[in-house]
Amino acid sequence: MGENGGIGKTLANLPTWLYFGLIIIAMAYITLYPLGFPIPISDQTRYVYAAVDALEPGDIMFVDMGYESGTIAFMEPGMVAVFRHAISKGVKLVIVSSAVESPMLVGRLMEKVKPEASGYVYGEDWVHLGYFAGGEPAYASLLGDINGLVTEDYQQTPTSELPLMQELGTPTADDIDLVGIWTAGGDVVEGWIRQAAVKYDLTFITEVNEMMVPTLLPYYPINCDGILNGGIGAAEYENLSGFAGEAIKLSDMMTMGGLVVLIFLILGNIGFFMTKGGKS
Amino acid sequence: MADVIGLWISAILTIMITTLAWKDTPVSKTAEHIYLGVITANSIVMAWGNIDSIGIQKIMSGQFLYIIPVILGIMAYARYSKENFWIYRYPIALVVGIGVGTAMSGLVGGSVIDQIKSSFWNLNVPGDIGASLNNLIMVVTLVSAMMYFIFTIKATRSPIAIKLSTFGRYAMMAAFGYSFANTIATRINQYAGRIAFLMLEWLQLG
Repeated sequence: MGENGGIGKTLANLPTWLYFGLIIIAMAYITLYPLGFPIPISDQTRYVYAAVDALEPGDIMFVDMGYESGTIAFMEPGMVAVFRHAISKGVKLVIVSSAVESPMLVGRLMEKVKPEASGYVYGEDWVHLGYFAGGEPAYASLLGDINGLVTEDYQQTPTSELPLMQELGTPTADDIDLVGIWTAGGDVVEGWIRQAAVKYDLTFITEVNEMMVPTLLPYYPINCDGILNGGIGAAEYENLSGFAGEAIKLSDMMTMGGLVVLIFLILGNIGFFMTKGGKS
Repeated sequence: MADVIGLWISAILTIMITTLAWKDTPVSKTAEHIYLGVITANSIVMAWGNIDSIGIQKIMSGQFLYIIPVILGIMAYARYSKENFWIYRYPIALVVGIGVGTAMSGLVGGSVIDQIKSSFWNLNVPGDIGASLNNLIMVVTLVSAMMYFIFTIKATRSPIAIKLSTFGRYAMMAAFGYSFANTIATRINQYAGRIAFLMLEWLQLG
C-alpha cells in the first residue's frame, strides 16, 4: 500500500475545520467577486410563478409565514419576490404564522416588500394575524371560519375593524384564491395540502428548504401546484419575475459552497477507495 | 443607534457560533444558549398571547364554553405529578383524536388516491422523446422500487423479478442521494446568508 495508503488515509481523514474553513473562504470571496453563475429555471418554479400571475386584482392570497430565523436567508428572499409579484397584480394578502418565531419577522419582511409604495393600506389590502397554535386542526379552522378563530390581529386590533377580514366568510376557503406556505417544518406543508388542496381544491404553492423537497414531490403537481426549492428556487423566482433581490446575490455563494463540498466529496471517496475501505 | 447595536450583536453571535466549525467551545455554546433563551422567552410570550386572546378574553366576554379548553390545558400539567399523571391522558387523547380525525379527512385523497392517479404517466408524448423517456424511467423506477418491498419475490427466485427488485434498490439509493444533496444545499444556504450579512452589512465590503 505504501505511499498510496498514506495519501488515501490523509484524504479519507481530512480535518473538519479544513473543509468548513474552505467553504467559508470560498463563499466570502464570491460575495465580493461574484461570477454570475447561470440560474436555470425549473418547472416547479415556473408553476409557482404561473399561479401568482394568474391572480386578478382584488383576489386574496392566504399565506402561512411559518419560517424561523434559522432559515431566513433563503425563505425571506423567496417570500419578498412572490409578495412583490402578487402586489404588482393587486392581490390582497392575509398572513398568519404557524411558527412562534415568525410573527417577529413579518415586520422586516414587509419593510423589504414595501406594500405602501404600491398604495397598499394595512387592514384593507393586507393583514397580519400573528401566530396560531394547534397544527392541522387549526389549519382546518382557519380555512373553515377564520373570523371565528381569530378575533384580533398581531397588533391586537379587533378583526371586526379590518375591512379585509370582512371579505372572508364561511367557509373562508371559498374566498381564498391562492394558498402559499413558507415553512421549514416537515409536517406543516403536508397538513396544509390535506386541508387546502385536497379538501377545498385550492391552488397551492409553497417554499420549503431544499431537504424537504423530496418529501413533497409525491404531491407535485397534482396537489401542490408549485414548489420553490429553498434559496435556489427563490433565486429562480427573482430571475423569472424580474423582482431581483437577495436570492440572486446569494446564488453564486450557494453554487460555490456546493462546488467546494463536491470537491471534498470526491477527495473523500478517493481516500476511501485507496485505503482498506475500498478493498472491503 | 439601536440598529448599530443590533448589527454588532448579530455579527458577534454569528462569529461565536461559527467557531463550532473548529470545535465545540464555550464561545459557541454561549451563542447557542443565548439563541435558545431568546426563542424560549418569545415562545412563552406567544403562548400566553394565545391563551389570553382565545381563552381568557372570550370567557370574560361571556363566552363561557371557552372554559373547557382552558381546563383541558390545565389538566395537561398533571404530567408533572406521579399520582395524577392519569389526568394528563384525557387532554392528550382529545388532541390526538382531533388531530388524527382532521388529517384523515384529506389523507386518503391526498396521500393515496391522488398519488396513485399521478403515477399514470403517458409513455408516448407526441413530438417529445425526452418526456416519453422521462415518463418511462418514472414507471420503471416506481414498479421496481415497489418490487423491492414484495418480499415473496425472493422465495419465487424469478430472475426478472429479482433484477427489477435490485434496480429498485439502486433507484431508492439514488433518491436518498438526492435527499442528502438537498440537505447539504440547505445547510450551505443557511450559512451563505450569514456570510453575506457579515461581508455586506456588517463589514460593508461589497
